[in-house]
Amino acid sequence: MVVDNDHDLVDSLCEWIGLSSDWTAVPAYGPADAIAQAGMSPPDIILLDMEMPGADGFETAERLERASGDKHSAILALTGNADLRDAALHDARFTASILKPADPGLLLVLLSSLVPKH
Amino acid sequence: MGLSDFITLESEKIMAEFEAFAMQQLPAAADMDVAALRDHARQVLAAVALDMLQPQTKREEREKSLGHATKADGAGVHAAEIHGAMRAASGFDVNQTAAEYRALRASVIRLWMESGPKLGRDEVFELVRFNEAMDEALAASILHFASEAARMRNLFLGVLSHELRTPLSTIMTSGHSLVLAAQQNKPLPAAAERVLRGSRRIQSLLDDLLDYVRSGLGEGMRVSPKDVDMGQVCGKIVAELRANNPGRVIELETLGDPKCVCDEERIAQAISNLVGNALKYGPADAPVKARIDGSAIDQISVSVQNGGPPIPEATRESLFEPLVRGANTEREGYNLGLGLYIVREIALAHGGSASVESDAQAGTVFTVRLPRTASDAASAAFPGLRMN
Repeated sequence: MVVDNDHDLVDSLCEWIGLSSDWTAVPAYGPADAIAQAGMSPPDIILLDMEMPGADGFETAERLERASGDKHSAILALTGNADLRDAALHDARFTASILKPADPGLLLVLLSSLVPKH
Repeated sequence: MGLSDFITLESEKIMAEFEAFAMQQLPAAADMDVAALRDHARQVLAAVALDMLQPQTKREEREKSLGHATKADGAGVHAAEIHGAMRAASGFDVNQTAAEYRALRASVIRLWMESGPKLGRDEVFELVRFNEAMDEALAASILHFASEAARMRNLFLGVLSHELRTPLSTIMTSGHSLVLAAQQNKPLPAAAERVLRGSRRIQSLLDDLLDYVRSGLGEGMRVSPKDVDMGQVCGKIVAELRANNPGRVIELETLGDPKCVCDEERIAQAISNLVGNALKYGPADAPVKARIDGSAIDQISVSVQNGGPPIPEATRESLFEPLVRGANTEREGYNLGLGLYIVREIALAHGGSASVESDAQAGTVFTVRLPRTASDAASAAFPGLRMN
């Protein structure tokens, strides 16, 4: 699941993941949308923007973790703010932390290391 | 009368003299609340007078002249620190901040000398104390001015890099998708559109940034005024924004004569910023109303109104400061918090003004007022006129 309030970025990332892998990426255009979707069908991996309006990234991560229940979705911080990137690196709620712009090729490598083998 | 007593007793007179000087010398003071200017000068002066009354040993005197005053004896230092940070936040430059002290010192000494004090040993000693306290306050003010300016610069760079990184991500990711899709002979029109939108966003951020840096260098914005029909300018902007915002109602009304002399491109930029803001911050179901008022002979104004809850009075003026953004950023659209700052700079460069009014009944109205012609600007004694 790709979570960002920027529609174009969410759509770009979902499209790229869909084209270049056999995974399904679902868009979420805001924290509420993301939490609702994670509750219904928890994703393997959540790419989470850290600076959505009216939401703290760390708090959103915690709520997503709770919403995903036993699935324990891996949460990746994705942010344009270098300080937040560093803060998320040292935060146990995040599996990884990436500074925008994420290199699309490297992102795939990272995702494939995290996707559970079926 | 001794100097410190004089300062305490005649503070009203000193303030009046200082204000007249400050208004004349300080361009940034033109936009500033007179009360704010006076209040702080008064505090600095009161603290300096207090400082002068403190007993001072020879050693302390020497320390102070070397700029090593301790915090404990410097009420003036504290007032000056606040002063420096405040001035940085109000868009003063370092020369203007220092000029305020020069004005204050000159006003005090001139008025005191006019009062005809007997100039004995004690009076000269007091004058030395006064100058030392002022120097100390000035140094503290400049130091805090510099650190506040650095803080704002860092904040700005942070916002800038963040706002650039998101559209850059979109461009990079969609670009990779386009390459991959081309290898499979698959068109991806949506990705191409995103690349274009992201590029436009970066371009508009960079344009704003350039305007900000240029105007911040003390030059102000340059304008090239020509004969312009404000009705046509606004008509074009409204048509464009209607097309880009289907479902939103944008009204345009013209009163009086819409012809004036201004820089068409700059004015279009200002009005487009105002209407864009109204669409962004006003409720989606309420119309945005733009209105040209050309009923006065020597000026023309354009106002843009949107509904929704009023903007609290305390935060209204700061909306025109760089880096300040409105509370509702839920909807699409990115900015550096420079939109209204640029609107005001454009108005000032024409010798006009930009203002905001907001209440529960009328909603929020931003108005740009311009002198109708350059000669109107000159005769109305608009000080800010800057033309190529």
